[in-house]
Amino acid sequence: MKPIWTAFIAALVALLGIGLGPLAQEGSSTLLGFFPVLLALLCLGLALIGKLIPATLAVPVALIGAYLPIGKLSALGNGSVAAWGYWANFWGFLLVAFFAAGRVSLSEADGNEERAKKRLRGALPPATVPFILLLIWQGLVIGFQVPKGIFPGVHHVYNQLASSLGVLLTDSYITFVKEVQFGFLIGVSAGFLVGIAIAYSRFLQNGFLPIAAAFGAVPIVGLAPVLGRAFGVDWQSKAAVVVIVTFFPVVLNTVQGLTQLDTLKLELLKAYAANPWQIFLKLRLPNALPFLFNALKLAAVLSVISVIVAEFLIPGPPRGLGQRISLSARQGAYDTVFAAIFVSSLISITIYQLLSWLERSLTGWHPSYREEGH
Amino acid sequence: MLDTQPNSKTVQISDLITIRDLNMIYRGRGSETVALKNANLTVAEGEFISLIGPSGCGKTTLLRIMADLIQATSGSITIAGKSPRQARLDREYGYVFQAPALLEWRSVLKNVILPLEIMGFGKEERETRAKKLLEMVGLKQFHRQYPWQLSGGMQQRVSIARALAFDPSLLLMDEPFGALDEITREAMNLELLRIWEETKKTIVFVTHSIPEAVFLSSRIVVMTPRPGKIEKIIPVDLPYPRNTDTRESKAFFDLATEVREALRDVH
Repeated sequence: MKPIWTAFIAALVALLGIGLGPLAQEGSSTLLGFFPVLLALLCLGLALIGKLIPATLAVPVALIGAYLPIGKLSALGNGSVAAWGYWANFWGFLLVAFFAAGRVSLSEADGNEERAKKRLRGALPPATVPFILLLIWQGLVIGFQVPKGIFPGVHHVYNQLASSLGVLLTDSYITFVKEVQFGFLIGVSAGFLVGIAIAYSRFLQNGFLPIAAAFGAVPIVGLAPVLGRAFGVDWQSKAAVVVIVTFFPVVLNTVQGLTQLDTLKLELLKAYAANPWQIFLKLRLPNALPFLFNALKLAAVLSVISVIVAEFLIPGPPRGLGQRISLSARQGAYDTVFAAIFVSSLISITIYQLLSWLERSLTGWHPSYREEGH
Repeated sequence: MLDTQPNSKTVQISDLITIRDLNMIYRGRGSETVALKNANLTVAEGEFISLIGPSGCGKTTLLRIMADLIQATSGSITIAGKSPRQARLDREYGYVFQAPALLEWRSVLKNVILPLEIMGFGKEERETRAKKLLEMVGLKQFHRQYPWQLSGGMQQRVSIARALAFDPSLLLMDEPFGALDEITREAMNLELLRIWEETKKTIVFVTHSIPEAVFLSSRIVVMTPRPGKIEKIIPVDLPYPRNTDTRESKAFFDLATEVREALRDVH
């Protein structure tokens, strides 16, 4: 592979920042020191070699390098805004990481490459990007000395997360185990059953389906206050919101999956004199599985969003991640807001990944997986 | 008049399909399309009958009526002495479509097993039968694969194995090799003839390829469009077993010419 010239130039910029640039507007400190220079030189060298493994190594080295000015400036603790040395250093190292990771993922695989290298190629970008984003966040907050009350730094969120983990877990229990889980299970199973009914009834297909399709565009969370009145302000009303938002996508996809069939396959089963139950079990249901999983993934995402919003709209007992966010925001505790968002995202992503995994194992035959499956 | 004598091979056996004055009329918006007009045909047990003609001649329509996938407007048809509907319910025939129509979520073996599952065969018998048939169509080692991993020709062989799985006496085939290239098609023709001789099935085969019809059939039913009707029935007196030499014989060319002329007559 050729040297990664872009990463080389970025590393030069970082080195320049370390050697010459002032770190802060006030106080003439620089970052000059053995460790930062070593990291920068390492990046220069690895970028020049440019092969797969050196390029991969350059990524963590550069990420550490990008953190150094942040650490130094916050250690100074004099509240001074960053100067150009800080930025040259910070962006230089970030770009090294970015270009090196890009090279690894974009480089052409040579035919008889080992499995481990192939896996590395796929795993590096998703492993790098979160770090880059967190560093940018932290680098900007520290660099501009943004007050915690306006936009918290990563470390504020982390501290808050660590100190109020117990409360957040209780909130998550209410939000996910009670509200989302109940609502999701009821909404999905009701949607599935209604979908089957519609698929088998010409009348419902003509009468109900257009309405169900239109309902997909209705911002149902707006109904939350009404449901709060009907089901009480505790978790039940929020679960009801989840039931409604998950119901319609599942109905629509179930109907599509059961009815969008290859005519030949239907005739095939007819030629075997299969009974309707067999046609459902052996043809319609497997045919509907990919559609169903699309609906489940969509419903999972929708239900998390709507449950958070529903907690905003139906203030009840102060429990649940949505309530935590709204209460903390009102008090200007944005670190708690972010911590709550972080926890809910983590759970939401886990649910989504679980569904994807289930989908892959049950519908591995589907065209969208063919490349991997081979 | 159209009911020519079955050829020497099948003369002693009884009739499996009898078709009398069959009409099929599609009624659209103020227009009528006569897909099949006064068709008469008798197919004896063990025959290999080809229905040939240009598109719109009603050959697929005729096959689909035999399979009870559609119902004729008028006329009579019996399969093994029964109505097509009863014959379908009694699983008298296996049907091979233009496309393989395999279920993507089932392995090759499971696809062949599908009709056996539906018809309630025991678990062990299902596997034994399906494996034997996959061996017959030369796909034994592919039984774990999924349909998309096979070529078009292999997929169609799976669908033939599937149609034979429950051992019906009649095989209805609707242009099964139409989508294949010429080379694969000729190989499949040989294979089909071998299967036919091995299993003693009656086969009704729809095609628009003249060499294919001549090579395979014991009789060729030539059909013409607008309205779809049976123009002529040509017995094929080429000895079985047929092989690649058959295609190069003079008798083969003469028969192909006869079919071609019968098709040309109406144009």
